[in-house]
Amino acid sequence: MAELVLKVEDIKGYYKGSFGTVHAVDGVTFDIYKGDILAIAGESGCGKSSLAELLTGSPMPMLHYESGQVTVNEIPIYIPKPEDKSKLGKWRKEQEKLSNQTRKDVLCKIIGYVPQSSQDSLNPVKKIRKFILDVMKQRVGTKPKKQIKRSKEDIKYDTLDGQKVRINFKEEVLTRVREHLEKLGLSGDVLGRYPHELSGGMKQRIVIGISTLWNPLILIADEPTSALDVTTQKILIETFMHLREMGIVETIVYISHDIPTLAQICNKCIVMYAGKLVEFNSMDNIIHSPLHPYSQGLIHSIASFNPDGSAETDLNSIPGRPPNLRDPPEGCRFYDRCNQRMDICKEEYPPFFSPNGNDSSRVACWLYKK
Amino acid sequence: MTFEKKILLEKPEEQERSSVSIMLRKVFQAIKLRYKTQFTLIMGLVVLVIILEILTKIPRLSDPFYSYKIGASYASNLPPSWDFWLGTDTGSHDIFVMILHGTRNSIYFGIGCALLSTTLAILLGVFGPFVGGKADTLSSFITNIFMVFPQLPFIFFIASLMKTRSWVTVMIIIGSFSWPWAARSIRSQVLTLRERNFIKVSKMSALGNMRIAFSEVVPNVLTYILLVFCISFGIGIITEAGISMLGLGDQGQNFITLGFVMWYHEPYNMSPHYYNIWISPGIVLVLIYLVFFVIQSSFINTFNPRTRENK
Amino acid sequence: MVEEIIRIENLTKRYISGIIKQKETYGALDVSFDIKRGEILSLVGESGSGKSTVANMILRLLKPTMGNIILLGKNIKEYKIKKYYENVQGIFQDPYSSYNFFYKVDHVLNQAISHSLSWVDIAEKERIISNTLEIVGLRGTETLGRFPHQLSGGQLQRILLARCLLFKPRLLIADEPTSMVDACARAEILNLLKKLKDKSGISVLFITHDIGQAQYISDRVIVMKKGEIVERGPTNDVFLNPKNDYTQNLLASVPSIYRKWA
Ligand SMILES: Nc1ncnc2c1ncn2[C@@H]1O[C@H](COP(=O)(O)OP(=O)(O)OP(=O)(O)O)[C@@H](O)[C@H]1O
Ligand SMILES: Nc1ncnc2c1ncn2[C@@H]1O[C@H](COP(=O)(O)OP(=O)(O)OP(=O)(O)O)[C@@H](O)[C@H]1O
Ligand code: SF4
Ligand SMILES: [Mg+2]
Ligand SMILES: [Mg+2]
Repeated sequence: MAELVLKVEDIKGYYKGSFGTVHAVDGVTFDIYKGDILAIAGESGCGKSSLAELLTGSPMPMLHYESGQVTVNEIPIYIPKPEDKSKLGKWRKEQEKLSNQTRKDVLCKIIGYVPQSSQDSLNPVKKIRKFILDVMKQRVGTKPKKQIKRSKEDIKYDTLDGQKVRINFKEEVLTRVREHLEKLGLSGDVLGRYPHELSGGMKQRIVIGISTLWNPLILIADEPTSALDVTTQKILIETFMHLREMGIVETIVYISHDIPTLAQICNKCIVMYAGKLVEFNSMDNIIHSPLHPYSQGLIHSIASFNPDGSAETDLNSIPGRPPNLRDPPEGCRFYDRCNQRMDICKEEYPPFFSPNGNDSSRVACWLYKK
Repeated sequence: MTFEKKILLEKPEEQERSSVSIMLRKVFQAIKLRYKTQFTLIMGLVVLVIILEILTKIPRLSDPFYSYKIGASYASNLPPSWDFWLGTDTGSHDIFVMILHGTRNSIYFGIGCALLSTTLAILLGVFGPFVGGKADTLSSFITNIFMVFPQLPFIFFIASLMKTRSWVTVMIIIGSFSWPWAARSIRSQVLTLRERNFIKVSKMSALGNMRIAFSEVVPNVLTYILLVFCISFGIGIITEAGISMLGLGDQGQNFITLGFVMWYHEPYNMSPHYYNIWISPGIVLVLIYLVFFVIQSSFINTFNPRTRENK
Repeated sequence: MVEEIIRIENLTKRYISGIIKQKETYGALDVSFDIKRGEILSLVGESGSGKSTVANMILRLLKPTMGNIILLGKNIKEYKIKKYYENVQGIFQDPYSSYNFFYKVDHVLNQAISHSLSWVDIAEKERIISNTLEIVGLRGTETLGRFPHQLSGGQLQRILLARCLLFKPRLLIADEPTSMVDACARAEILNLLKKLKDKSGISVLFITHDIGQAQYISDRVIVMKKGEIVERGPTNDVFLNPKNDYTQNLLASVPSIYRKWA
């Protein structure tokens, strides 16, 4: 049995603000083993990005951890919220401390995270080199310099790209970075360029390069190829494969709404719907014999290119819209659009059933109740 | 279709005969819905003007230059009292009455100014870029010229050149110089709107350029236009006050503004109750300006899509 | 012989950008093709290949630098705008920006109907609108009277399609109508276009970067690259036996659930 790298137990995270409470991630459970490439699929707005944010341990400002646990390499990154309201203040402080600790120890080193449309977040007035040094500064606390004159204690070490580096020495860091980017198929001179001088695919590879500098155990990539042309998309997917072959990252979580792309590289897949995980299965099964009515609808609605035959003759779509996540229904969230719904579905949310008898596939649908 | 439903459907349609009336009605409804706060404030102002208008029609208050007498002697330089709420000046005029007239006229002046400069801003900021081509180049050229012009000196210059200045000419001078910044900001909005698909969709319904500009573009920059209107109003009143105080305003005594009241009393600022004469119009001026400041800041809400979404 | 709806001859669009250092780019270069009655022609290509440029020129939203567009045997310059849009209509990529957020969704339909059917009475207009909405699979009670942000992308796109149908056009230009719509609703629009073709004989110029969709829907395809046509032909010929290097490379890069690269 492969080694367990990431364990997600009933994680919940809500957006809270003047608009109310959005139940963006509402109880998701799954495991990732070493060597897996896990796909997270689902329509836009189902909470894929929010889930990714939660996995990193320090979600973005509006998104609040609610309950559940994420264990990264046996390190828990959340403290369960106390029932008692009076203890909330103390809990918040502790959680804050833990998040800071996570940001230092776990992010980048164990989890590499490429947020959605991060290629657009490269600072347009800074050269790539400067941007990377800024990232280092965030991690070290001081800016990497040409040389350090003070006593020896000031020198900090870090492991970049598998090698020990004095991280506050500018030249050493940049040499490592250059070598690392070359492994991703970028020439070293991109460091001296501005973001607008680079194509979308190059920018995306730079961002991936930065998040894999520390050779993390897991790489979480949120829609890395969605804004790209198919030819660039293919190069990028090959980059991901390459990362694995070279042993830079072995486990990847790949988030996308584009199932054909996921089918190319992933071996396992979870399908999300309205903040809930509805099916966990191998990628092949999701494509050829999906279990959940929603997964079935999703697969039957995509017009995929068939390189050696004529296209599908018939596509079906799922009528209706997903429920409003501000006030999600009690029962199955797919109830309104499901063509196989039953009375029980409206009343009670289905637990996970394993129709195959083992843990390799799980589905949250009353149809599979034995 | 049931009979009732048919009636329900026909009723509103009956009024929608002419496209212009549909448009105006829709725009008006949308303004009411979206600009609730501003709408109430502006309505408040309208009510104020009506009250002022009625007050200044009362015989006792109708002539600001009536010289009052107490018994046989002129009532000059009196302190505030029940008869003369803000006292009288050296010429025995009731200062309260003067301010009443001044306030009314200043508001009229501001509205006139704002109308003029907003119209110019819309013409050059909306239609220029929307029609595109030469019209765009021309409108942005004119805007830029006016933009770099030193406005205030120029206004003084023109005003001092003219032998007789009526308030209308002063208004035209001020109004036609206070729009370029507005046209610029409206223009930048229109340039982004122009690329939106809904403009293409309207074009594909074979609507004319003017019609599209009016029914599709203007509503989207309405917030801007209202904002421009309010700011121009403020600028108009204040600039006029400044000009009049320097004695460059309308000196015919049939249109006295707050600035005029100040200018008129300038030679008497050594009179014992000069603080009434000076400070009162100032306070009124500040109050009017403040109301418009509140209106302006309430627009911030409308710019924020999140608060808008709830409606 | 099948009737030819539109013929495009040597259509070229040159963009000049930059004020000081002027740079020329060709949005379209020497593009020629025709569309027959009741045919779906797909225009595929990567981003920046000039697909939208061609569409906008056909829709008269952009002036061609050179070339002719001939609709039903007559150059489009000879058509009155109004007459032209009764024959050619279009829908765009972003359904949200196709609506003026100031108005309810009915606005686009009213606009269209007051143009094309200004003479019919009100009850009749109501009836026509609800019939047309039915064709695109919507119910008036669910959609009319709402603001655009209260509807989904798929619904909005279908209302726009209904708007086009009010004109009873012969040619529909669909510029990436599905790329901003949820996967689940995408099939609905594709099927709708197919149905329109079969039932009403409307010709469609379907623009997409998604080869799968083009394969599913079209009779013929044109592949564009940097403003130029590199390959054309019946769908199966182009997609199963591509001749051109660029097309071969493009097709090899398309992710598909039927094959794996590695
Ligand atoms: N900052 C925010 N404030 C409030 N609600 C938000 C915020 N960000 C996202 N949401 C809501 O949370 C839900 C999940 O959003 P999320 O971004 O995780 O979806 P997603 O699956 O990543 O979609 P996409 O495919 O479009 O990236 C959505 O319903 C969205 O409306
Ligand atoms: N207004 C413009 N000014 C200058 N260049 C333009 C303009 N519009 C388009 N272009 C250029 O023309 C080329 C074709 O653009 P077009 O929008 O037609 O591509 P497209 O195939 O529709 O791409 P996409 O799939 O991204 O929509 C691009 O290289 C683009 O940069
Ligand atoms: S639980 Fe019921 S409603 Fe939900 S997907 Fe299964 S059958 Fe459909
Ligand atoms: Mg996302
Ligand atoms: Mg395009």
